[in-house]
Amino acid sequence: MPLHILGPMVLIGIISIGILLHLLGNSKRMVFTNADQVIDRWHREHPETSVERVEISDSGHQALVKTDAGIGLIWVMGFDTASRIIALPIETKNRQSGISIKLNDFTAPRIKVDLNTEQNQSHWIAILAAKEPSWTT
Amino acid sequence: MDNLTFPDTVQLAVPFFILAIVLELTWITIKRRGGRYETRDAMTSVLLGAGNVVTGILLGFVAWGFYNWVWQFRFFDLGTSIPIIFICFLLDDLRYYWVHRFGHTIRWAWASHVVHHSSQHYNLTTALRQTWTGEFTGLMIVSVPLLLLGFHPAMVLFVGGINLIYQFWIHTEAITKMPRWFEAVMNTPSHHRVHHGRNAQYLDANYAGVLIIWDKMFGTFVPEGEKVDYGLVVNLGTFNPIRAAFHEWIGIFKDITQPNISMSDRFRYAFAPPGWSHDGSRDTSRIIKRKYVERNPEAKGKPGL
Ligand SMILES: [Zn+2]
Ligand SMILES: [Zn+2]
Repeated sequence: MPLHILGPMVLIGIISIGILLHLLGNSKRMVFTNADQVIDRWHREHPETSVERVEISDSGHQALVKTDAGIGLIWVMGFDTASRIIALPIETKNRQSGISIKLNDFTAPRIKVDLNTEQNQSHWIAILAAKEPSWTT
Repeated sequence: MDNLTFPDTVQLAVPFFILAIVLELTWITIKRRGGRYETRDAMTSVLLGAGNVVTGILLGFVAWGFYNWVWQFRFFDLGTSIPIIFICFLLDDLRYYWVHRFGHTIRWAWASHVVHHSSQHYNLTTALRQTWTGEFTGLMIVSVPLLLLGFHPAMVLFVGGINLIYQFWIHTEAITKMPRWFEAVMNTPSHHRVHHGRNAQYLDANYAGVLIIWDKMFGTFVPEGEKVDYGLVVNLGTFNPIRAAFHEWIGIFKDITQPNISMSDRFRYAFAPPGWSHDGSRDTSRIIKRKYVERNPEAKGKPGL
């Protein structure tokens, strides 16, 4: 097929599928509403760990878990989730209405955590700096 | 015979791919079952598909040149009659089985193929989520026997394209099971859902392209049982298609260049099964299956475990 037909066809196809999906309400994201839901999603990728503590961000799109294998970060990917065990202390940056966490991971380079109040932000920063006694293992 | 041309089937199929995606999406939206679509996930898939066509155009000459170079050493010239094309298709499907199996069991090839498994969804767009780096795996050598037997390079590429087009429609949850006889012989949505599962029992199963018989012959067939959890053992934390396309190559590079490991460990980081690590800090699918059975002893002996 000549490129001057294939190219525009692919482009228009991709854009229209994207618009259609969005209009049909498929851009919604999962929201963590309780600790059990977070633990359930965490165990999907880390079945061998036991979770002792959960902290959910203000938007419900991110959460921290304290496990017997270390501190874990789990976040929403559309209708699903991704998660990593993270080594503390870890670098954070203040962002508008939240903080961002830089992971040394090409598949998950930076995770933004939505935290509305200064109190919540400093709580997360303290956990991630390994300065929160109830979260240090 | 050397200027033989076959139509580029994959490019010709693009309008049908787009139409079928719209139809599947409509079906799911109306019926409220039969699959899930997520905007960013689907966009990542189709962009990876488009990129696959682009890299195919840019790098296709590598395989084409290699095939033609091998062709000069052929033992026979089988021509291009319809029965020969059919036999070529069957043998190429066996070729596909092995390329696909190597794609899951050798990290160097997995680095390319992982892209296809990087979605947590399973719908027709997932079929288009294809590698940009297939030419780097070197697995084109698996086609050598076909060429030496006398199947023309253009025919080998043609039937390989038909094989990929067949696999498009099986990436759906809208079809539960096909008729019994069909499920017995052909690769189907049910068999291929298993292949995309990250459930312990579904890892390294159902490598088939068109015929499921190869998996039954070589002991890698697992029937669909428990609900499939789609995606990777460690799922991607990004929808960025460039990160999806290259992440495992970056992973290999980081692993083989780390300090204080032996040369043979560096070699294994590139060519051992995915998940191999010199310090046992990661799990291969074999270890994942073993640990699963330890946690769920009642599952021992089930297919795939
Ligand atoms: Zn595969
Ligand atoms: Zn597939």
